[in-house]
Amino acid sequence: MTATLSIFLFFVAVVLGISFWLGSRAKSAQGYFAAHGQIPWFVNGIAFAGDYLSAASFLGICGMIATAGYDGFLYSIGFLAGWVVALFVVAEPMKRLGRFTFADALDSRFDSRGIKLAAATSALVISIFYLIPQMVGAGSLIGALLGWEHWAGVLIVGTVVILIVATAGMVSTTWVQFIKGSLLVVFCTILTAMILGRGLTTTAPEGTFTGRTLSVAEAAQRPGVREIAAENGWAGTPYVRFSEADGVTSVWRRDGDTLRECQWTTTRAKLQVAANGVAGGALKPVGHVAALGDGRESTGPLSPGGYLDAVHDATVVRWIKDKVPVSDGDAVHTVWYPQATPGSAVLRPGLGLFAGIDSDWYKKLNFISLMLALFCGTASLPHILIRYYTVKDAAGARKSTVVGIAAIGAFYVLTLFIGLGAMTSGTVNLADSNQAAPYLAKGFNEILFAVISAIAFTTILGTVSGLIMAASGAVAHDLMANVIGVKMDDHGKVRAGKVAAIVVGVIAMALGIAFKSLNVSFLVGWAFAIAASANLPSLALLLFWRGTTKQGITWGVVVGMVASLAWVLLSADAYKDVYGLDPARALMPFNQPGIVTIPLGFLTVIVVSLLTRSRMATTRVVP
Amino acid sequence: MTTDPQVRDARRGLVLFACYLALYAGFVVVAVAAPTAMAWRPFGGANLAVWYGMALIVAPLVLAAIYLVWLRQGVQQTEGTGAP
Repeated sequence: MTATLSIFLFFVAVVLGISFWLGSRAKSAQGYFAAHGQIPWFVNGIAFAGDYLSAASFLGICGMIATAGYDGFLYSIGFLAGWVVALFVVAEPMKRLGRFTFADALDSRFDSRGIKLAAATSALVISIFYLIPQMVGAGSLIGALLGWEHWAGVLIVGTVVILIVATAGMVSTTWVQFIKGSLLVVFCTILTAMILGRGLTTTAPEGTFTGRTLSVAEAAQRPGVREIAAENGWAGTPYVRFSEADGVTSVWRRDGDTLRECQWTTTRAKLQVAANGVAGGALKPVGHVAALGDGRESTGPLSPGGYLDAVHDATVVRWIKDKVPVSDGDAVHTVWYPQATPGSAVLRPGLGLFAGIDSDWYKKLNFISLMLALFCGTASLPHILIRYYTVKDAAGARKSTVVGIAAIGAFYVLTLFIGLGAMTSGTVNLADSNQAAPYLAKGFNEILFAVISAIAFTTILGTVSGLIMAASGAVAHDLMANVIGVKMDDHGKVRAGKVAAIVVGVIAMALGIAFKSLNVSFLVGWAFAIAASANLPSLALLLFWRGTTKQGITWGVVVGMVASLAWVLLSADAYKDVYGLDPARALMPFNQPGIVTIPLGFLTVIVVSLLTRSRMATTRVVP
Repeated sequence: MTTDPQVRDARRGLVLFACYLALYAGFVVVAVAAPTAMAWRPFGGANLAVWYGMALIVAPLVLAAIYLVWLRQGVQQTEGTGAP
């Protein structure tokens, strides 16, 4: 623990040291919000990767692949695909049209307070939605690394990021992102090489919970063990409970004449109070290979293709979550039962998040909607867009985007191996899938665990810094200076930006603590949908349709934002995970709003522009 | 054909964007309309889902390289003709 803590503190100290050192270089608004527009294109490109590869990418996607296989990898594909829109459609115009913020670019032709207000509000909403998963990831990471409570991790990240942003703004944010982007790609490559070097084995690593499989008679006849009568919510479920010889209650899933041992937790008021029948206990790590395709027990070192081939032919044991409805007060029991899954199913869509995609039309629409949002969302994220202002010219913007794509693409290829490595190495924490990558590193050695965790921590710092910068610019530059008309000199604008950064940081910390149980990639999917619905229609039509009016842009942003936000908050996932209500009562037929709200955003801009343009034309004809 | 380098470059970018969009849309359509086809192993060990997914991650870099080559050729042509 001492070595782990030392490495971790060293990383944080280096990052903070760089921030304070660079702090003296950013006294003007141009320096604070756009790093003087003098960041070299290669550094900016890697900083793009550092900005973009958030907790969702590193912790969330690896965790989702570890629990749901290829369904998690779909996020990697969608997250990268969005950069094609950024490179070919958005990069150069954003650099040409804007100065500090997304609202600058959107308002470049009109000088409209309505556009500035709508765009700044949208940037704030998206940034905060995107900040929540980063903070949730921070809490998970600190918990895994130091064994501290979730809220402590959130407070540490929030405080460090506020220090970074408040000291030197975009200059320090850029260099933190550059360092983090470089380290992330390099060490994930090392981790992947170690996974391939180890190969696959049917011997579960020490400490992995594999669960016993017994016949009904065998289980009941064990000495000192007695079956507990099914009562409350347990009656009518496929689960059988035994009081073991040591007095602890075990839960088994019945399948014909066979019983498979499960893991289970009891929560009260959303707090876990017991695990596997032990008050204050913890779930044991899971995930192993039950059989390899050719009957071998171990593959030895494998090439990347050979590894995927071996996973495809193997049988992997995954753990499926099931809630048991009970009637003893506010207690909720959650059971995870083992399911042997063919590797061929692990490596294609439909195992987890998109189960039922082959038959259920709502699932199909949900899938299309998510893939559309991921494709359109990247080029609409405020913290990505403002990075185009930190380079000198349009050519620099384009070249840095290409460097960013190379680094980000390399990382996303690695996520598949890291996720599958966690799935087959007994490093999946059932209560928190976000910890899969750090625990995988821990399976190799403690030093790698410390380094990977520290990188993950800087990953969160880099992205959160960018998001808070985007929100800070939206408040100080767009809302205060341009919409409300507060008279500020250059220093005053920087001061306002710093105060805004602190306020947004505190809000993000509070929300990160409140939403701690949600998977971070899943939450980011929502942020992408809101960004794609609110920002992309207006930006695309501004660039490619001369008929766009300021009213069209304003209403396009407002309608896209409100519609996507409302959809997300009324979806089944929000009912289940945010409000704790029955998801069947949700008003929206599927979770992802993009397939409806992105076209709605385009339609609003076009219709309002046509209406207001004809009115303007009429006004001009009739004096 | 326009001679404005900015418009020409933007059009080339949109052509490459359309190519990728078709590739991406094809993936989504196959995943939704024929998900079992994703299990097909065309060559090597990996299945179609893995090959197609990896292609979608690598393709942006290939298209970006083509784009940069086009832009460089455009700059050389502009300098060769003495156009502003």
